[in-house]
Amino acid sequence: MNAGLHIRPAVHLVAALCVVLLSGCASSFDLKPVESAPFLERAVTQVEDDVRVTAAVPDKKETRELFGISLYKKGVQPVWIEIENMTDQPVGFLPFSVDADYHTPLEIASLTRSDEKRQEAEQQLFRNSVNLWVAPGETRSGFIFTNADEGTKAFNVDLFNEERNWAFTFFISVPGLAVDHYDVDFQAIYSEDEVTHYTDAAAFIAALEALPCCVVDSKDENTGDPLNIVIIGEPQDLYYAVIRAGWDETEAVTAASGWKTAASFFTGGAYRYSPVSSLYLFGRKQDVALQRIRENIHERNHFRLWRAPMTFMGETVWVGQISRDIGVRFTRKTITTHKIDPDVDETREFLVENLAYNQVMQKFAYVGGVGEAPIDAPRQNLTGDPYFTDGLRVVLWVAPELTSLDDIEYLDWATP
Amino acid sequence: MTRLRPLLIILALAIATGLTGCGGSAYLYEPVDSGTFLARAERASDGPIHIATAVPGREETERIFGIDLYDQGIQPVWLQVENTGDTLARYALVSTDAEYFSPLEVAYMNRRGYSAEARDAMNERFHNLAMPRYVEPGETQSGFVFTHADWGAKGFNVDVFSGGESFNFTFLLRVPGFEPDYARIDLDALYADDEILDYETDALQEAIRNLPCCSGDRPGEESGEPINLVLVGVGQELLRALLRSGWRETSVEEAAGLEPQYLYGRQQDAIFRYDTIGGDGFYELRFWKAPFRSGDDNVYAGQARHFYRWIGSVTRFDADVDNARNFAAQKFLYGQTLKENAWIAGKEVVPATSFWDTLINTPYFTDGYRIVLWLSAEPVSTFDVGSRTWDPPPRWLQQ
Repeated sequence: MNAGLHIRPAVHLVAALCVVLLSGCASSFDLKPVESAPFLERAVTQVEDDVRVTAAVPDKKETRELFGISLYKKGVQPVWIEIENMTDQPVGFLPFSVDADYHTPLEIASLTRSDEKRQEAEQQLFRNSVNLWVAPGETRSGFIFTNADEGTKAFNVDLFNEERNWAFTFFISVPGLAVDHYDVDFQAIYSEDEVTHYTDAAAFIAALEALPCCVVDSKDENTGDPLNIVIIGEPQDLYYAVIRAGWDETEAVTAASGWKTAASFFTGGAYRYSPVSSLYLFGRKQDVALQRIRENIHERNHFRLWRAPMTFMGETVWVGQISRDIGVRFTRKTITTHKIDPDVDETREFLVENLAYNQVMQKFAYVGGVGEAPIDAPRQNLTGDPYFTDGLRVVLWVAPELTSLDDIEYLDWATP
Repeated sequence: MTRLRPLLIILALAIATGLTGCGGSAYLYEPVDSGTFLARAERASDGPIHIATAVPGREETERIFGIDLYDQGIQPVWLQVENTGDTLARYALVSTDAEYFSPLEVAYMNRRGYSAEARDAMNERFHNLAMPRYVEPGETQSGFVFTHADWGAKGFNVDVFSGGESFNFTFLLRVPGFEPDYARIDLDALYADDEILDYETDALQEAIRNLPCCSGDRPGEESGEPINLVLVGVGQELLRALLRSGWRETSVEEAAGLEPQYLYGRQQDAIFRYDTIGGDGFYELRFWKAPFRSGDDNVYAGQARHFYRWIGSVTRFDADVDNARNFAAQKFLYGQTLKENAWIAGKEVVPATSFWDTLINTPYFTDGYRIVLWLSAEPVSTFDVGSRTWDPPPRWLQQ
């Protein structure tokens, strides 16, 4: 009747083999109690409008101790989530928001060796998976099995009831990799008198166009990739948006807090983990560095942002640069720098669509400031890669309140 | 297309004559219209936006680009967008493939073995043949989008935005040699007109509630897994919503290799799959067109199941069928294709404990609920989804 039954004979065979060959695997599956597990000390809690969400991520070793299986080796990372519902309605949880390709408890249980052990594992893992519904006044917790990330684990938790939704974003550092980037205090980058507050669109456009065309190197001597992205939104909104759109900040771990700390700190081990090079603007390295792994793990897009010394209509303004790595596939064994797509406008427009289709972009517009570089007279970035551009920067408003494609507003500032 | 052609011919000639030798081979190709694939172009119009599109097969692609792109998992889709409106139109490449390849990326991936001049020619060729994003009022633009290859039917969307409106198209093009499983049957002719009952909301709820609990291994049996998912929508829009949410069609051949399930005395009308990342496993949806509708909307009784990779390439059926149902619902929800939903509490509850009770030996467990999904061809924001209060949603009371 289904593939499950069809493979039954195979199941028995394998089970028999297990019993014969692996008599040592007879010990039962035993999920260790979570309450006393050390990884909970790193738990992060957020509360919004009568809903409390706590999340924690066990590292490689802790996971092996908890589950008795080396899940990280299988590319699986358990995330523990606890939801307390203080509203008077049931609240639903959407595991898809944490990882759109999450693994199921029974799938994880099948990683155990014997049939007997698997059945125990199925029961225990199933009972310890996250509930989809949390009744009023109740607290529920459990694991969701995600695809493993190194370093900071960044994910969203979407909850809903009949009237509204909640959108949480978590950044949880997992031991084993360097610094937690999210500790950057974005507010402390500028003192209040360094920030210009714009409310007039024309003045704001002029200020954006007056920003440098491009990033520079650490000596402020050579100019590199064009600054063709402006994002408007508070830090938490920015993070919700980019994570929802599939970006993660793995490589940002070391790249970002550099300007805040003594440079010597970074000459240690941390740099080794950061294949993304630092670029400079406003006299410092990027504040946020993101990457988006595409279908092939060697294909990536890189995206760097700096908080700008200005606000628009009270909101934080970020300026940045995006590139599409096109060369990794053939050069990764010998060359460590990434070849970028010289059509940087193409990559810029990819970001626009990427955010729009993930519903996190409210409006967008274009301004000048990069300076045109035609295809037959390209400019070069810091690693000597040529690029050409129409000279525009795109301005994107991001928000966690989801905006459907049809509701995105386009402001007619400059036309690409 | 016509505007491009003289340039192409000049380019082709330049390459053929000027660029031989010099430490690598020359880059050779034929004009875009040398093959016959453009003759297969399909057309669709919505307001001021007129689309023509065609997908060259493997050999046609190799002729046009001089490279076997299919071998690299890349499939060019040819598009032509005509804008007869009075505002600028923007085509969104990610609507066709969220992870499309950029033209210069494809050229760069293939630079090996070519001379420097040939590489320049290749860059130019890919850049010039790329589909532009913007189409001015009164103009027509055409070119290729480099997508991930589908070996059979190529189902894709083309979204164009103009004047604050979106124009959404879904195409299903036959790449030679592929038939989707549902092409075996004429869905419109499954039932005679007077056989299909038209239900108002209450009667629709009742009819969905009264669907058989499960599919069967054989006609007339209910020995299979639960009918836990019901789609409501207009036929073509349902297809579009499925594709937009990331489900893929199965071919006649692929479906023929799968054990059939029966409902209404016949095999499933269609099978769709979503292959989870890393090729570990897949979610599978099976559908049967129901002999009732609701106004213009068709109703499809469906079944969601999950199979995970177990040993080698053997997959195993995931007994938690409710997860498969919930996953499918979220896939539609986050794919912006879900308009409304409702729950029906089922009578056939199989507690998880019976699954693990070796004496009873049930192949799955379930809360018995069925989710009803009204799908939309137009994008719906994830949290704008409406819900009809039929039965309260399933809630696990015990952990």
